[in-house]
Amino acid sequence: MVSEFAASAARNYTGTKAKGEAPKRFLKAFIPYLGLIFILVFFDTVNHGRLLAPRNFMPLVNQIFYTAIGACGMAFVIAQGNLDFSMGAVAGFAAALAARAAGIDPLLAAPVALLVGLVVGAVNGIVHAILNVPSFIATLAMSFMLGGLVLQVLDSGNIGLPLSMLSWDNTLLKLGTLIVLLAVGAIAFEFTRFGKHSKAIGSRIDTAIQSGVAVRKMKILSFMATGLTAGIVGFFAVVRSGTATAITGGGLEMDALNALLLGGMPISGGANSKFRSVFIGSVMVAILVNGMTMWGLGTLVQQLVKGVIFIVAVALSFDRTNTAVIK
Amino acid sequence: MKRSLFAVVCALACVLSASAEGKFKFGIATFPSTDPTLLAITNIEKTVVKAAGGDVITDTPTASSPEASIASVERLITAGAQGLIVMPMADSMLPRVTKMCEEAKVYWAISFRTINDPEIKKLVEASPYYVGNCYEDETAAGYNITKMLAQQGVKNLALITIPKGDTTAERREAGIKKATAEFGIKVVGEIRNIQQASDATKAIESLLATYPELDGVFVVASTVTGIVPALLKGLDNHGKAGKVKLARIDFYAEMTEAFKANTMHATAGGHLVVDPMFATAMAVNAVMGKPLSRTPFSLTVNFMYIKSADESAKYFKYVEGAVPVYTEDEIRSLMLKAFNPNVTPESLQKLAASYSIDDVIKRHKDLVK
Repeated sequence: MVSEFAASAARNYTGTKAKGEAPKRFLKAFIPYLGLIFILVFFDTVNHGRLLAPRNFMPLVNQIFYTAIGACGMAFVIAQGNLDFSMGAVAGFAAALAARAAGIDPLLAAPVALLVGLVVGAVNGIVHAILNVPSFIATLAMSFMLGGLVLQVLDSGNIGLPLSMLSWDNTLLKLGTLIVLLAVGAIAFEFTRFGKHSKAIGSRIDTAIQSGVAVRKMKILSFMATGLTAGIVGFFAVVRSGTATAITGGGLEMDALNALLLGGMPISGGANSKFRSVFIGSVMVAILVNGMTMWGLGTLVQQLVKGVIFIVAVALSFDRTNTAVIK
Repeated sequence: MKRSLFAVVCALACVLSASAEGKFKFGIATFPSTDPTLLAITNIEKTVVKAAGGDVITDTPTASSPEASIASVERLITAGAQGLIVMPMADSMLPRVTKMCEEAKVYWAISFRTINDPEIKKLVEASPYYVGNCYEDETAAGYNITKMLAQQGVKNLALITIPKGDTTAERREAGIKKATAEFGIKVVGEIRNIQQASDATKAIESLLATYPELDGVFVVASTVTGIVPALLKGLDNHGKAGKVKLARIDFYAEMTEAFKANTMHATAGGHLVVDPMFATAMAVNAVMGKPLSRTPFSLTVNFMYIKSADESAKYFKYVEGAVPVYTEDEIRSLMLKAFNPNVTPESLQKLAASYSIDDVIKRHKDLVK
């Protein structure tokens, strides 16, 4: 074990690089930007300029908004080399409880959604970090549980919001929320102990432990971050549609994951994780979905394209020296 | 030479683009399915738009949910739709749709649904861009089908339906409740929110295990393709296909074979291909600058009731066959004010009330081979 550690340290820190490593790193670093420019130009061209037309601004903002918020929280989990498959279910559960709370008082909706997200996230973190259940199992199980709980909360139907809450779905509020979350997330990810320790855990967890990182605490905090962002998405989703349903928030985890991977975040996490992937990836996903729809590609073809892109993004970003993907 | 060629190409492009474009664009939300009945809905909507000289823009919602419907409406508006029809999953999504259509100055109508919530109804009907809705007497359909099952000896009934909050299903269930009370039928189980066909097989098997006395299954509403064959599989696995009476509101592709095999016992439907047609016509008239009414109005469409393979075969031949239930000429002369100034909400309602298999056979007996 010591000799393995020493060999790894030598690979990573003595600067000995294989031939062709530098151009490969350059490509990896700039592929997200090149990808973004490419799909922007491509889809704007095939759609005859409609993609970037002013009337498409709100649909694009709406698409970017939910994905970017989800990716903000997911970034910390991924940086640690973990996965969270419960985000969509958390968003749906938060939306359902927010809708119920709004029936009592509309002002309760947002706090309830955020609190639900935080609590569920904490439970996920505790189950993974303290009970040592692998993250994908813990969060997958949580998503099944929440799926059942949502049906109970909704009484097998859906709940409408008071009409007065319609005005809460407005551009300024959404843009403001997005900017604040991106700013806070970027600062936390790149400049705070939380972010740096998350990357350290993702790089080598045993090293992180030996370096004095409070690994369990960081893991719980990261899942609370995804829970919080899922709660925010759930709140805004229910305000937008006016209704909480059993499938509100569905697919959020895959959209967030796709966005992060397209934005250049390695699925194995670690030191190469960058917060910029949240924004770049979210914009790419939004342009992709919006552009394909405008172009007239059917849902099934869109799913196929998304799947292929997911595989390519994982293949390009996967750090093969850090093979324990799921911790 | 190059300049001349360039000029010719430009002129050709102008001519082609001018001749390729219709007078207006109309948005249609399609179904992510190859089910012939669902395709027939899309086709009849396209027929109306084409008859009026418009172009169709399509979008497929990613799910049967209010969020997906709203996102679909948004995309259609962004793609340039000047009119569209909406099938709302819940009343509470309508204020959002109303606002989006008003801001974009898009005329819209509702198909297959009424608005139950009085506050939302008032808000929607106050919009100058909302033209009205087309719907069926769902309560009567729920009642009549349950009555048919009672007449066939059903005493213990299971319901397969969709999540609460959908006004169509709620009205059907109200009719069922009335009929079960009147005819002494017990509802032993209710399954909601089936997302795929295999869930239906598991659900019916679970019901059969829990209630061996089950002798009737009523598919009240479902957005799942292939739900009836999936239910029949479940019944067949327990040797109950044909013994447990099966009924459904909404016709489906394999219906004739099911009646022949005596595994299907009562259905109501036929509205799927005319309701959206009328709703589209209502909105298209407004888009063309010839609104039928200054205020929103409602149209009621008849259900057809089918109890035999012969009736089912006739339905598919004449109503969902190669010739659309109304041809483009019929649509222009009977539904579009731009082509016939005598078209009014009353004349459309009279047309909707006359809808039946016999009516379609009478009109198309020389067209259908």
